[in-house]
Amino acid sequence: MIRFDRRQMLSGALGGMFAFAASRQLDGLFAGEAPLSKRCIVLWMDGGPSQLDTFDLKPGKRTGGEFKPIPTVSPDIIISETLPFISKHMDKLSIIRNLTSSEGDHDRGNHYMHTGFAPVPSFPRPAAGSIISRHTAETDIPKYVVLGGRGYGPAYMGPDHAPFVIEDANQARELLNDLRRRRNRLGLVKSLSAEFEAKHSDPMVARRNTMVRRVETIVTTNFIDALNVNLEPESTRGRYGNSTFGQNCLLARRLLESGVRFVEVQLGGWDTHENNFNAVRQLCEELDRPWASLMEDLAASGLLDETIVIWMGEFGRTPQINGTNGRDHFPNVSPVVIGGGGIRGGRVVGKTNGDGTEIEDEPTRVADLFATLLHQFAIKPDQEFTTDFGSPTKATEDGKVIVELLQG
Amino acid sequence: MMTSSLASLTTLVRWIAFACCSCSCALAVSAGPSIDAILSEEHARRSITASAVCSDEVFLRRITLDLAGRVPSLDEIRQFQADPNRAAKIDRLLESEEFAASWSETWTAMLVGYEDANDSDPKALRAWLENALNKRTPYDKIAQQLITARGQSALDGHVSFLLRHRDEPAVRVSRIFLGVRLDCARCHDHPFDRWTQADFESVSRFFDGMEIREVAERNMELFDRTENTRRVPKDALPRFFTSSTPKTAMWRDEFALFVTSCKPFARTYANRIWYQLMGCGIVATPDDFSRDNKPASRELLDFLTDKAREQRFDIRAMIRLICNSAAYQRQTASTANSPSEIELFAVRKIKPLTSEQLVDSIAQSLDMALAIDRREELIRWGIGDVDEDFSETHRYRESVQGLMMRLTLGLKSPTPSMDELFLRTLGRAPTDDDIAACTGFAIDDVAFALVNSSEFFFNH
Repeated sequence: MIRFDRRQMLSGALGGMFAFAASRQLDGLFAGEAPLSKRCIVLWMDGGPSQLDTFDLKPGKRTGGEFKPIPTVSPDIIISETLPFISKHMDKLSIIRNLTSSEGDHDRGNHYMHTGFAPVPSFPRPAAGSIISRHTAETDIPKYVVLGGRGYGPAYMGPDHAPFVIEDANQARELLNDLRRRRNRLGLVKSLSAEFEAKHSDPMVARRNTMVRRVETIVTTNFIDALNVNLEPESTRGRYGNSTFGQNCLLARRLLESGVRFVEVQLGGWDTHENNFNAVRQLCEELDRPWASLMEDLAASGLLDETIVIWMGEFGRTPQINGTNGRDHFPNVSPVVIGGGGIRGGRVVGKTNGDGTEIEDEPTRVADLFATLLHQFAIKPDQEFTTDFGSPTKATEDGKVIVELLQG
Repeated sequence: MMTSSLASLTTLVRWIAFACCSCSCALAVSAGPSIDAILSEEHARRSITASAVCSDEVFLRRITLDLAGRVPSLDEIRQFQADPNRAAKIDRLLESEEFAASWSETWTAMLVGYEDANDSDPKALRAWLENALNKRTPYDKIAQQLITARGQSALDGHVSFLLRHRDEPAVRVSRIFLGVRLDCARCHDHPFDRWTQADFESVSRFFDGMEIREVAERNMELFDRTENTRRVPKDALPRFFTSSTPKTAMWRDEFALFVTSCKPFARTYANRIWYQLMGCGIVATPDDFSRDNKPASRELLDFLTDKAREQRFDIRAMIRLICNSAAYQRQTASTANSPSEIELFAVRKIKPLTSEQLVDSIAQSLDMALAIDRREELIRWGIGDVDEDFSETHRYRESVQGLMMRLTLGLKSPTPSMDELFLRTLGRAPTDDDIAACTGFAIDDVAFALVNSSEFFFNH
């Protein structure tokens, strides 16, 4: 019996050492080559963007559609003529053309691409924004902000890491200003709570106290000013355009500068079952310049080095053009463009066949994208989280870091 | 040899876990043990001293929040001051319409959450539950009807439970009604628990006959196809945790009977009601009776389980039993209490108000009339992410943003009197410290601060 225990202990210790060595190796593999990231911005193309009309063109094929290819600053990369501004930034951005997903339904695809896990009803998963919020240093301002749509939630990362959802920045600013002006009332809340809180020791009491303090602090931070795009020079605002998406991109940049860790900006309308080409042309027009301005500004300020930029939606669209000149859901190929924050630009990961109906090489999985993203925040793909009900679960579903995006 | 004896041992363990305890039911006569007798023995064994029973004003606030879902009104406070009969108060609240309204709302969140996912309709389910509570339908019948629900979601509210969980109905039913978590067994045999992937599959099969079709927009019909369940070879039949298999083609109906007649059902029910009232289950996790989650008092759990059956799952009877105990009426924990005193119910745990209780209490104490839509909006602020699981009623869910929204609500005091305002909100008179703190503030600001204070936010 004693011997058994000792052996177990011994192997346990050895296992620990190997695990340590393996983790060092992983660190070593990328150390120096890929600096870690501190922030992330997701441009979420709600509805599912067409890869064939944006970043994986099939000119001359029946599936290719209307748009012509244009060269970019990266000699090996061609993209759609609908994205002339972003073509100038393809040295900072890479395209993943072989990402495949299993979820072709909007809700399920949304969940999958926001959390890295296919939805299972009784097992809520945290959104990437919540994971990153949980694993970055404390700040006085909200760390995970969603602009222009509903945010995906924190699940077992806890309500502290819920998205701060802003539908209308001016309204949010008014609300915060109102709280700031009447901060003395918050003081009264605290003094009327003091006796109760001193008497009752319960983690929930402490939590409640922290929450009130947090609100009190947020209203004194630069977060309120960050919400005010009117503080930008006219010329800058002009570069981002007057559209909601454009103004939200500018807002997102200001939020990242103020210390927010994760921002999601949504652009809806990509569910182009009908009239795909007119719709995509219009959407790209809305997307192109603000995104390019964002890249320009982040690069100029140096923030791009520590900010991952991701462009994606819930899935891609069918190569076949349907009877109403539209494209339907196609999770088999789901386009992703990624750069900044230590991710190499100017690269293309994977390849689809001639007419875009199939991936030709080993597909990249959604879990791999998450492994890469989390890796840049020093979270290992197999890091164990504990769920609400005490069950351990890994950060990603056996995700493997996409090495091509990190190595020099 | 080894494996076969091991297998039979497992079967035996399961059989014991699920066996009906008719023997102990018969033993539990009215003069027998009580909640407080069992607990004081537990306390004596561990040299714990239980705290005193709370004051009348604290009791009134506590019981009104628990049974009516809001703080007491001025009239109720005055009436209770005149006649502080706790048992009578409990009875009156249990007969009130608000009891059914409030508990049906809590249970709707527990069963389906707040989203109308999968074409389910939480509002219709809530109306159905409210009606069932008003009709005094016993808990086992409610469970049975939820599991065997058939009909159209627009007409039959209870259909929404299975609609919501149509992807994995067996997982949800096992969890809510039996405290069995098959979630993990879905992918792998649980390393520590007795449920295996084979259990997950064989229990899930009970729902193989269930079909859903869209009758009209936002109206789904739930029905059964017996051609799916007839003439199935014996080894492909669904199998309950007790290894029972169905004898007819009405698999769901048989499953409902298996569920509601096994001991874990009564145990999970008793523990859930206890959890809802006490803020902490005897098994701390109300829907997870795994081996890791041992009951704080096995005797108490067995006692309540037997009571549940003796009372034939009369929900009010169980609530009455618990609320009349000293355990329910004790003072809440202070910083001097140890965790084991709280776990063994020698002192009461505090609970955050549910979002519904909070909103209704603000409206009640400040005399606000809330339109239904506005009420719903305010409730949303307090529940965090609608995607979450709401089976644990007393979890703290509010996010910073939700709190912020509430802190910008324009509130008015219904009275110029500070004393009355304290009574309306906290159910007590202001202390000297309170009065000092409020000096220089307008009465509306005091109202704002009171309904946003920790004392208001918790049921204590």
